[in-house]
Amino acid sequence: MPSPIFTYSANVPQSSQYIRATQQPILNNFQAISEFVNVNHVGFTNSTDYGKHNFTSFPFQVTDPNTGPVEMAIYCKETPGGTNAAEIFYRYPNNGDVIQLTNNNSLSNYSLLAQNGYAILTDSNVGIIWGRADGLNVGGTSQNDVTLPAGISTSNAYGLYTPIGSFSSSQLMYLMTGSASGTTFRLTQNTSGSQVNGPSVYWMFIGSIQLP
Amino acid sequence: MATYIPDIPQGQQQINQTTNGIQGNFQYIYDLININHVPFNTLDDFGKHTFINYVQQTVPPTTNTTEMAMFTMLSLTTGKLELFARYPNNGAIIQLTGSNGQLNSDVPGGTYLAGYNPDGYQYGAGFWQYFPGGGFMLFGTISTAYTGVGNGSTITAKFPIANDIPTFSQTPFNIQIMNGNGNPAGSSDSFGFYSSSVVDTTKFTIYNQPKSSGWSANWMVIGV
Repeated sequence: MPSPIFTYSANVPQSSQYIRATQQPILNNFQAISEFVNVNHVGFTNSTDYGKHNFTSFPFQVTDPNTGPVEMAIYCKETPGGTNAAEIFYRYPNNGDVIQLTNNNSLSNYSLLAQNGYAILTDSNVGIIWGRADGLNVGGTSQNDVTLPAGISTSNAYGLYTPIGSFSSSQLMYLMTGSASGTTFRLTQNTSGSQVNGPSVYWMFIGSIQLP
Repeated sequence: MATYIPDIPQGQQQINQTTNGIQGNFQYIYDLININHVPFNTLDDFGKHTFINYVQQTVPPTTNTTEMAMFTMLSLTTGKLELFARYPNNGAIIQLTGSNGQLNSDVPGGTYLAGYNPDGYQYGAGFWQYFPGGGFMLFGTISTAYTGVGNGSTITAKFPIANDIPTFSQTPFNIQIMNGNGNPAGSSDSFGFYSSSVVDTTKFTIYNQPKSSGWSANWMVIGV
């Protein structure tokens, strides 16, 4: 964004000043106000939407803003440990909880999983994490311990699993079971001597998700 | 409403020529600040926002290296105005809002690719929801009494579409299929268990095992 053209003078006119001395700063103030309003806002010249917002730019905040008992706040701050340089947050009334609103769902640092990602819902600790596990062990009651992407853990999360692939009527498929335990979970195939289908699974956890 | 005059007073003007203009400017400034903002002369809260109206944008706003932006524009997936956020330095744009229920064709404006019952399968009630970080979830039910869709069978199901139902821009990441049968139909029907594959942006497959005939499933898909 370019620097402002006009300088705003908050202390004009003074009673000791001649009018000719205040004309220029007053003129500059009106122009500076118009220039200021045009940032993020619909300006004076639009008789329908003046004062509304075209968009809102959120410069990074170093500290979380204070909130009174009858207000909330939305703002942006840096997230050096996260996927992105910064995220948008909101804060509940009375200096309440700070909740992260945005997160860009992309994880690519996990060799076993492809098509993996996560979504945080309306609470910073409630979300969905999903992925695909390939190359699973088959036969007998094979166990497959899958590690979640680095820095991500679950607690009080519910797991879902759907095998990938097709099968014929002669190839019986049995339930896979999984259990969440922090940063890993287990997929167990109970084949009961029958052939199983496709050593790949779509998995998903819904619940308490802790991100990096 | 007064007209804002940014170029007054001029040096050659007498004060009686500019009084009305200056007063009009002050009034207009006051009126404008009153929109979306807590106005002047309000104890404690002046300058804060009461709420924010976002006027539709046709192009996303630019962002520099130390800021993010929120705005509204027409969503290519829902066909409606939605809220978006943009990351720093003209970075990624994510859609924050968008949800609806009832994918039935009974919903006004809601139709499937080839009608309500396009392939002999009944597509039941469903919903979709955008995630605050981008991407969305689409979920619903599917069932059939079609006798050719029994034990060990495979069907291809279509994601429903309508004016306001988001469509996938790339092959969805993840699908979950759950048994929707109340009870197995017979002694040979142990679980009515399924596996699945996402085929592309418009359809997915369900492999039915070992329900002999007539079954239902709940499905949930995540993608962008």
